[in-house]
Amino acid sequence: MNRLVLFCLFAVAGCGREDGRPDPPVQHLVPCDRDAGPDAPLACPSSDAGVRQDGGD
Amino acid sequence: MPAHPRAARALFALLAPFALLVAVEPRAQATADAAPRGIVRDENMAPIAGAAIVVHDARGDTVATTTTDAQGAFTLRAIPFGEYTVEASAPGKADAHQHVVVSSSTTEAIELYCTEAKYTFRVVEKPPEAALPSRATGSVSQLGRAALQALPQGDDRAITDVLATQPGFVLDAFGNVYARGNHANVQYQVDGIPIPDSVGNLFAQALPVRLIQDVEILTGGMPAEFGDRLAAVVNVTSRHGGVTPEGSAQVRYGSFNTVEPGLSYARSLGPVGVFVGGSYLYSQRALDSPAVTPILHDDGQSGRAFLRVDVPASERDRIEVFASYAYNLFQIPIDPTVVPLDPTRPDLVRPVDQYGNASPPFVPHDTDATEREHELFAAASWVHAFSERAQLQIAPYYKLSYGALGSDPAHALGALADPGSTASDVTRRADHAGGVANVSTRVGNHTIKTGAQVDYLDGRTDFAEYVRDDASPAGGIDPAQTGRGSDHTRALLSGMYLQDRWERGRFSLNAGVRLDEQHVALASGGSDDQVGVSPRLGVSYAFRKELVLHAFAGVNWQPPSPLDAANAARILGVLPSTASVPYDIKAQTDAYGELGLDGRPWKALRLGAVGWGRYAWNQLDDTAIGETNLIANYNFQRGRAVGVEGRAELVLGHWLSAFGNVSWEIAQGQGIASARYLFTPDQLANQSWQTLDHAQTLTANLGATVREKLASLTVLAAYGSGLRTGPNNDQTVPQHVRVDATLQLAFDKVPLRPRVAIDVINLFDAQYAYRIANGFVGSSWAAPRSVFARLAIPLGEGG
Repeated sequence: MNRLVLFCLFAVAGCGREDGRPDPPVQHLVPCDRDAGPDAPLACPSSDAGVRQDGGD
Repeated sequence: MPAHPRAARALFALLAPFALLVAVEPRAQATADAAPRGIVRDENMAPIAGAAIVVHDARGDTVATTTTDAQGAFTLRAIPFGEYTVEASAPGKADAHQHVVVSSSTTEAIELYCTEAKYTFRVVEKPPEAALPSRATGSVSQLGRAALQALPQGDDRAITDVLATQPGFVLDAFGNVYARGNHANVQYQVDGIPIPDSVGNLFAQALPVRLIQDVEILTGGMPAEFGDRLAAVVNVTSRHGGVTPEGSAQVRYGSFNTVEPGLSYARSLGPVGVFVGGSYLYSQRALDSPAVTPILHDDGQSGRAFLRVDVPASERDRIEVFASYAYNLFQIPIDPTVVPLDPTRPDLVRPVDQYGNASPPFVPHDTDATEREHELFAAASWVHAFSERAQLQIAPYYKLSYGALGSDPAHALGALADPGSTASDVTRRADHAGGVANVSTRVGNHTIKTGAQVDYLDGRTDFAEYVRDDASPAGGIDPAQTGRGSDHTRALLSGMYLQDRWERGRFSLNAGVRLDEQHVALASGGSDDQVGVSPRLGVSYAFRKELVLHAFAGVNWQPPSPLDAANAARILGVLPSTASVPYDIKAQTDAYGELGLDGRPWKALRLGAVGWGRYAWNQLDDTAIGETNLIANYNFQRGRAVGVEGRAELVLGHWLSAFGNVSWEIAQGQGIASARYLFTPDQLANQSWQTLDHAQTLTANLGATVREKLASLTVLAAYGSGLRTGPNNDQTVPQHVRVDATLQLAFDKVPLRPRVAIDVINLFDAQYAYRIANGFVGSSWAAPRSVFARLAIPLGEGG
């Protein structure tokens, strides 16, 4: 039993760290869509923050 | 079915005198407690008069005593719901005992047999069995302290994570849960006292399992005594001090440098019962991150403290004082995958994700945005027993809820921030004062309850919005465009109800009606008043005690949250600053029905199924305003939802207990009907039925605990088919399966009797999102595999 506890404690110490995980891939910018409407995700700049429906509360 | 104020006022006038009459009638029973009845018989089925009845709680403390009447019958006075052992003894007879579960929605019949001593056989301990079907007229489940502690994370588990294991609940980011397709609207109730809204969802997070003795969860078919927030009712009985001292000192350590010391202790000081507890948490993953881990700037700390004091003022009077305090300080996480725009290439923008969602904005990595929250709740409850059949509960309360979001605009609007970026500081404070009064009387097979509640809210929201100085190469705040504002909200919510639970043989009926009114004082000087009448009828029929059918039909009236009134939109520039903002948010009125079957085909196995449906007028939903943590309610013209749930419970002796449940649901809304200024013309023009983003089509849970003497292993698996995403809410995020496991060991022969537990959360390291491009921070990803160790030292005999 004591070995089991020691094993578990080592597991916590060894595997409980998220350090060493690879960084997630970053974005790459893409050309904007000049034909897109002002609210379209790829619209060329000049849009504002706006409002998102269905917040996370 | 919109509410009719004239009819409602007439009903108020009819109910009020009756409520007063019952209040002074000396036969009443408080809604916080139950008064189970029983009978003691001998070996010939003859009733035994004068038998002594003693009731013990789970620790073995005596909580009630009485004697049987001439018919051998007894009624227990003022028993908080939970699990008990009832013992009967009579001169010349062998003692008898029965394990009973007392709940607020049903009363378990107690039948004890004290036989002649010569007939007494060797006492053989009865192996555990699956619980008998409930005779409640709605969907109710109950979890005792032992079941709660067996779950991964044990006492450190948040109550929302407990709810997520039950049928009908969907877990979302930041620990939010939704019940049966209803947005938020979970009513937490502690010791019979409903807890008012928070400015966030802090109270749910502030309610640790460490505080809970028993929890009763109602997800449908609520009796009339429950009002206002009716997606689900979470009815908590808090722990209290008794004759047997108990408690524990614990520390948890593990992934993300999480450290959480905690303490709880309960004992009696003379006749006074005292329970105190608290905990402190530090973690480097405090909020659900907006991208796959590792994430930036996600540290957090929180503290919890609570106190309960029970004073038996007299034979018939009990006073309880309950107080809790919670504190949170969170860093607002930063998504490291989002890149800044290139000022030399204005034709380049950030890409959309695989669902077509726009990217969240870039946040400079030196931004130190934080959220700080305080919550204080204090209540006193006086329970007076007029007789064994009658009680009264009066409980005033006060609640302070405070949240402050600091956006660190100097850095958030820095050189790398997008042109035109904004940042907001928002401080919210809500003071609630109110109370409840409940009485009931038992007349024959009828238990008539009535009561009233009132809640006064004084809320204040202060804003400061900052705009980036695009003229400066270094960015920063443009003082000329800085805007400030303040909202002041005052509202009075009141309600009253009358209900009758009638039990006759195999048949139970719960009929009632409640009347609610919300008065909101508007900034313009006027007021908004809305009234709802909610008749409800539930029935159950026990074909035999192992098979119960229930049906429910009724109206649920749910008022909007008046906090964060919609003029926040004006202050934040969503509307021109000169535009007036009408308050047009309506209460939601549901026609709700369900049909369920609950059976125990074998003593080891309990199975249940329920189907439910809802049609809503003025269905409430909410929307985030700008880049803030402000939420504003709005209405759909109509809503509809339907679902089916199945559940199973398996108990094989002491060594194995398991449960499983599966829920299928659809919830939709049609036509945006209020706060229209928050939406685009296209959104307003859409009159089709839209699936709501808090409905998950398929959700399932599976849990099993294996015990061997002083060790136990619990495994919990959760499946979700995915919440909605996409610009039109017409896609779902990927399905996920998460498995948690916990191993608990007790060392009773070692000094200090330590308890050790190892929790592995997300055992197979499933990387899944609750949300993608929806909510405050764009996306919310669940934690990767994380491992925690808990070391607890019991305090006192019962620890």
